[in-house]
Amino acid sequence: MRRLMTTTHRRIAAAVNARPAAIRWILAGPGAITAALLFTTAMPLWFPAGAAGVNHIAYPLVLAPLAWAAAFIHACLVENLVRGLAFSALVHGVCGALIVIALSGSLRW
Amino acid sequence: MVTLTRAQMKRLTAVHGWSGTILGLLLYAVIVTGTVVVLGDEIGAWSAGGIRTDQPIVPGIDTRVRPIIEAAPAEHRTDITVFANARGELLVFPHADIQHPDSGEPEPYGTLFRLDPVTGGTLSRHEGFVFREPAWHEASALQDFLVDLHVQLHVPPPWGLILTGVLGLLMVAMGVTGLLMHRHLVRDLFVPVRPGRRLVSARDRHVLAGSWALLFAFVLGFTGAYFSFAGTVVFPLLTEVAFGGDEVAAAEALFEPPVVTDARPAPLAGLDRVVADAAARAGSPVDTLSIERYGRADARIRTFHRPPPDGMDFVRTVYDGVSGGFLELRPVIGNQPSGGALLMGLMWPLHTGSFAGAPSKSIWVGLGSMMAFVVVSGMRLWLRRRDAQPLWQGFGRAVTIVGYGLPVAMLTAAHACFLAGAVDADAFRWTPAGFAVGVIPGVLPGLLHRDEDGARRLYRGLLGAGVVLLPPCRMVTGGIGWGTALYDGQGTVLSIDLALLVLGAALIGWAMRPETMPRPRSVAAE
Amino acid sequence: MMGLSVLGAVTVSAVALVRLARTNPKRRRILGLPQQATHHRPLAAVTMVCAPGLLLLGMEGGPAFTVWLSALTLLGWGVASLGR
Repeated sequence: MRRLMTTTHRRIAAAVNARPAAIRWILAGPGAITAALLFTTAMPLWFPAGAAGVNHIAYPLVLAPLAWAAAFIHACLVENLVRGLAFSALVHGVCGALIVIALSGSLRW
Repeated sequence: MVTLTRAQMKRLTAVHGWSGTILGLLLYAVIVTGTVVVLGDEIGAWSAGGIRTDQPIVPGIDTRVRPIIEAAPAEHRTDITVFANARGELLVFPHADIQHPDSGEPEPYGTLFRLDPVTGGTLSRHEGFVFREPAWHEASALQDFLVDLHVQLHVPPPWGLILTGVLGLLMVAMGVTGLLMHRHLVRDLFVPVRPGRRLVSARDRHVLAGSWALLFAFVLGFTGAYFSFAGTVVFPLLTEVAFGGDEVAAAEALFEPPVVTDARPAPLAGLDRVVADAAARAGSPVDTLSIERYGRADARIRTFHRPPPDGMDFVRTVYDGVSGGFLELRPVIGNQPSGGALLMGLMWPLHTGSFAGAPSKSIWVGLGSMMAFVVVSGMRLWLRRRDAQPLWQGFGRAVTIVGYGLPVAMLTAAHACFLAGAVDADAFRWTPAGFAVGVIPGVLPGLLHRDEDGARRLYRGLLGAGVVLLPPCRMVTGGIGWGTALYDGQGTVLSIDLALLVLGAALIGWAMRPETMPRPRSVAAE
Repeated sequence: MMGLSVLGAVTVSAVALVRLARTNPKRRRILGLPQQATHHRPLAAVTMVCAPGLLLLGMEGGPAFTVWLSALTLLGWGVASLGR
């Protein structure tokens, strides 16, 4: 099992490193946009609403441009593309899963 | 300072340079129009023929508003909005939200009454989806046009907003990449621009202005992106997960004061006392007043005020609609103060500089001009590095044409607005038309003049003439004269006229000045 | 009252900015001015630039501070690109 994972990891790493420019374009272009949108959309599900009950909406509403800027600059700077891709995939996966669960109605705050 | 590897530096330089080249001219357009609309309210008052009064919503308003509400059909009495236009005329709008056939969304429908703020006489009345007709509720076509140009570049919604939002993000990204690229930002803050047309001079100019502009480039770009995206993209997404997609429910939960329903009939409290009390509590006069559920026991009166002298955020009050008693001061979002409300409340003053009157507005005009300079000097630096190639020479000419042509076309729009007003034509149609016509004098000098310097001088002269002619054009076409302005205490009209005359004279002077910059002897790499 | 205190703070900070510019070694080198004998120690001037802003923030609050900060942004650019 472990060997299989290592092999898969190596394969992905080889595939990513074979076309670094294309991967970086995807990460910094559409990747940064979707990461920012998913992160912002998922924020009301974990961010504390506060005593006024609005912070979970107000903060993501205001911070959305910063989420994009962070994802974009990270994609421009990251040296290890495999790690950068993994991080982006993690953000997409976790936030996407939270949103899907919320929309399916099993998660209500 | 951050140390970057060679590869990182190369990538950042490519991102900073290429995105600036591709989107720089559009960003320039948004910045220039934004710089002008910092003075949007003043331009409104100036171009609408002079205001009649500074503050129409003051005690005494009850006798003007109440008869209109009482005569309105019952279904339009659920919501009454009272506000003012750029001329200081009073607008009373009893309405209900009904579905618009085109958009399919609920939009305010009712009869809008435009009143003389001094006599109370009705100047006009229009029934319909009022906010779709700028000519009905706005006094200045020029202000309307310039704001729209800045906010959405005249691209239909929501795409125009998304486009300007992307440009806001670009500004943020340029700031961050520029900061990372410049290794000695603090140390070099006072390094002067080496004179001349050398590459190093172009670089000095851009880096110096960019370094000082950095913080506010970030603030202005970020807040601009917020205004573009919050309503079009982010809020709808957030309501999907937090309110099951019900935007009306979301808006009610976040922005409406909680009310216990009580449909028993009850008379509306006196508005004069409410207006006086609200102005005293807020520390600034009432800008907009709204009455909800008129004639019922659960009626509410809400007022909206510009920031008081010691505040940045707008002030919102709620009064009981029957007793007239003060209920609460409301934050921009939610029922009590919160970090989120504080943050949201800062967005508008930080974007527009509208929190400390003329001083902050003038500074914001300066900041906008500085941003425009940073964008243009950046493009000039990029081009200076490539000026041996014909394609880039052509692009350089395009930068000159847009750089000067856009303000030229904005000027013709202003002239068209006044001329249309003089012949009773629809200024809301002719102002954009004037802009379109202005593209011709805006583009021609850059296309026809073979010599770039000559083209620039011609442009400066053209701009100077257009600016100097604006005050006389305003007066000849029915605007108030300086004597009347002085007598009526209308400082705005006088100050804008004088500022334009000075600016125009400076531009003409600049156009006549012989070129002093020495030309580079060679294009050797520096 | 806000106007006067902001004006005062901006003036003090601007004077400090001019001082910082005049004593900046790289600037003097580029402008062809003689280097100063004493070692360049900008700490006092930097404090003089920032202190009025912090005082304003404490005494007058956010709007005054924002006016001060934005005014200095413009003045700093002006001082660096114009004066000698």
